[in-house]
Amino acid sequence: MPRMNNKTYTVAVIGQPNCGKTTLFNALTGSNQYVGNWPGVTVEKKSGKFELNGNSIVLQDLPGTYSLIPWSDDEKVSRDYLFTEHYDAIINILEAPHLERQLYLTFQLASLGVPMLVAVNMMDEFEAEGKLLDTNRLSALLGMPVVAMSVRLGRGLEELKSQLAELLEFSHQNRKEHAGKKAFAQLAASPETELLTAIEAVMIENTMFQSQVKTDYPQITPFTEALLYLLGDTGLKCYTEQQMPGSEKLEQSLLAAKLEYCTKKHARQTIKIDEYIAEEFGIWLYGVARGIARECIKLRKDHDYARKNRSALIDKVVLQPVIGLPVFLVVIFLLFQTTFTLGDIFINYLEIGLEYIQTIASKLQPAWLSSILQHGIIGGAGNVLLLTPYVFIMFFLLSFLEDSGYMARIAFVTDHIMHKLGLHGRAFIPLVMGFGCNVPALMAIRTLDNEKDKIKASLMIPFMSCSARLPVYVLFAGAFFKNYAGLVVFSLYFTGIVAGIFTGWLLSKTIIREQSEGVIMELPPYRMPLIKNMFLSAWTKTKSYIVKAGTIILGLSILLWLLSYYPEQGANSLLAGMGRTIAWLFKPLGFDWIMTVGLLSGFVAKEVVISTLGILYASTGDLSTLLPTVITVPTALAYLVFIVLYTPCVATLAVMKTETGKARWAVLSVSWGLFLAWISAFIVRHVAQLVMQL
Amino acid sequence: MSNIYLLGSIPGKSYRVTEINGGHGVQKRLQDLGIVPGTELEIIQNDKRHPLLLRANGTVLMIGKGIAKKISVLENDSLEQDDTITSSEHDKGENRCHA
Ligand SMILES: Nc1nc2c(ncn2[C@@H]2O[C@H](COP(=O)(O)OP(=O)(O)O)[C@@H](O)[C@H]2O)c(=O)[nH]1
Ligand SMILES: [Mg+2]
Repeated sequence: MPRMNNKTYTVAVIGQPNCGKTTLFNALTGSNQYVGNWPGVTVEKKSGKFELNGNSIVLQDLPGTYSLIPWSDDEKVSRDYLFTEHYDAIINILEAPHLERQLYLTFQLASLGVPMLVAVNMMDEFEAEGKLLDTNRLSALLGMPVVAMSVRLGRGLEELKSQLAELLEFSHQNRKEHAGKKAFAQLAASPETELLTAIEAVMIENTMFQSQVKTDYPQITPFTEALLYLLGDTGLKCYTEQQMPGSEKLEQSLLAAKLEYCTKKHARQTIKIDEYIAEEFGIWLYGVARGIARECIKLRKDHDYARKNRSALIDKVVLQPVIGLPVFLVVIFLLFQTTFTLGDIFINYLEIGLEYIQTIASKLQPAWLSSILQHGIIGGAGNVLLLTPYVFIMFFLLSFLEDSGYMARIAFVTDHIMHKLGLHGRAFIPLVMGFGCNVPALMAIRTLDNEKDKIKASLMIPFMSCSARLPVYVLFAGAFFKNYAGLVVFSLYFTGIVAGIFTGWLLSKTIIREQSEGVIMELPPYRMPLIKNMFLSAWTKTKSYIVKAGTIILGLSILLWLLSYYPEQGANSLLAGMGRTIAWLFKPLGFDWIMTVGLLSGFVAKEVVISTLGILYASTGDLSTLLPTVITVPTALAYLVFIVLYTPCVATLAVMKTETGKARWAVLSVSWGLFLAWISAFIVRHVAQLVMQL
Repeated sequence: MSNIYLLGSIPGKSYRVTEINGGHGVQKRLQDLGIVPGTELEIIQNDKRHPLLLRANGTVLMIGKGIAKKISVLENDSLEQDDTITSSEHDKGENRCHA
């Protein structure tokens, strides 16, 4: 074992989706991990630490990607990281059962010439198929260390660690020496290898071009540039087509090399040359991969190859055209019920605990301190804490859906429905969760795989009536509409859904336009998720919710509580003053200043609306008998519609900001919500007045 | 056997990709997922409303109808014959490595 001491190395973990990356990451770092967002995008960023021979290894988890030429935002993150950041080595995880296809990425990574290690995972499945892998041969052909693993079963972990230690030690001595280009150097000469060499030479020669690319992508090598350029990378094309000194010569030399290739391949004259080459290079690389797989994979003679394909059997049911959708609805119903019923049990206990602390605080002196503690700090902390059970349970279950392979199938089952909304099928989950509580729903947009869907869904979610709005609906509906209460509540939910769909539609037509080319997706084999992975996923997300959104929620809640308790609770509070000042805004809707204050206090949480109204109307008895005496029916309806549509609470805003990474979406959401609420309430009130006069 | 579009393929049968006409992005994505001219596809499901479901290189892929319209395929005649085609083509198309 090489001796190293007290250094910090950064190691990037990359692989195609579902290769077991998270499982390996968890196995190496345990709970010592940190979740955040990549700057500027809503893609989750995860890093972790572990000790290796006295050195500290920072493991950087990169989003799963099929190739270095990105298709989705996730894939772009991985590419940008590899091309720009500093790291000491790459661990490339492959799925043994799909070795051939996964080597496509391995070759692209190898072109970077960075110290690299290949971990062939899922050897258990591979061997169950009656196959054997010659790792030494694979290692020789790729020119880099190869470890056969079954991360799930803990197999190969120790070997991976010792190989990694060796690799880091070696690279520390001489980074350049370990150019992964070896993998290419060993390939048989072909028109493709010749073209690669020619293009690389052109790229090196053109120093202007090099320095342009290098400023944006310091880690990229001319060889990677050549490979990606030939594979049809449009990002790099921008550089070669840029107007700069020598660019004409660059274009000419590139074209000359490409034409020579076409002549060698006897290609037709009429073809689009770049697309032709990109395709030929794809065929060539897969050919190379197939050749390697053939040399390294042996079939066991004594194996029973008639084994049933379990995944295919499950798909026969789950993806069946008629029952696929009902199955999905059952899954989402279970997800919803479990999250919110189980969550409520934990929340009850948390509430008891908080009340207990509050009674202690209420006995403190002086009175103002007691009040701040009781209402501001403990109340605010409650606003944060009481939602954690939902967040935790939901992510625990979502992780099950994700890791089992079912999540990918949702897109298949719901494709034809969601298509009409301009959303992908997975967006269904966050939207439905919104009916329980908007906060976990907004966090669930992480499971979507493109930026546009994420933004769109997060602006739609606040219109899904969460359970905190229900008490207000029930109180008003009961007080004003007696026998029709049920119908009114139903209509309110419906109003929210329509507003949400309208918002989504409007976004697709305006700022977030969809330019879908259609879906192409892999459906991974079904696999039994690991409890440990589910737990870690839930835990890290809950932690990041408390740390990031939590602080904002706490701050805003304390502010709102102070406003409503200073200088004293009730009609003389600052919040009441604010309500009186802006009451004119709501005159056209028929709301008096008390109702206006109710709306303001509703920013804390919607339940608070009721207690605020109770206090300010100085209701001693039953609020539901008092309300009809001070509010008319059309105004009550307008008030309800307003509550359906305007911003649910500060917690949703905080989460919206932290999840999308930008305050502007939260601002847009509040403004749009208020605007829509005002207009709708206005229309509803006046239509109701007309109807009642008939 | 004549070329057809993947859209018109029949579940249970297997085909070989002959041409991909989609835009640049689509061709790239298919390539990343292992579908290039020559790749063998086994159709699992192809109904009116849902995307196409197929098996390629041992993985299951779903492909939208719009894209399936742009992929030309050739049916593999029968299973036995198919085997011989596969192996002869393999040997031809492969770029063997030497260490
Ligand atoms: N059979 C088997 N399954 C594994 C192995 N490693 C991970 N898995 C499972 O494969 C699925 C995907 O793993 P995950 O780590 O989430 O993959 P990621 O998408 O690359 O992060 C999970 O259900 C894991 O439990 C393994 O070595 N063998
Ligand atoms: Mg994962």
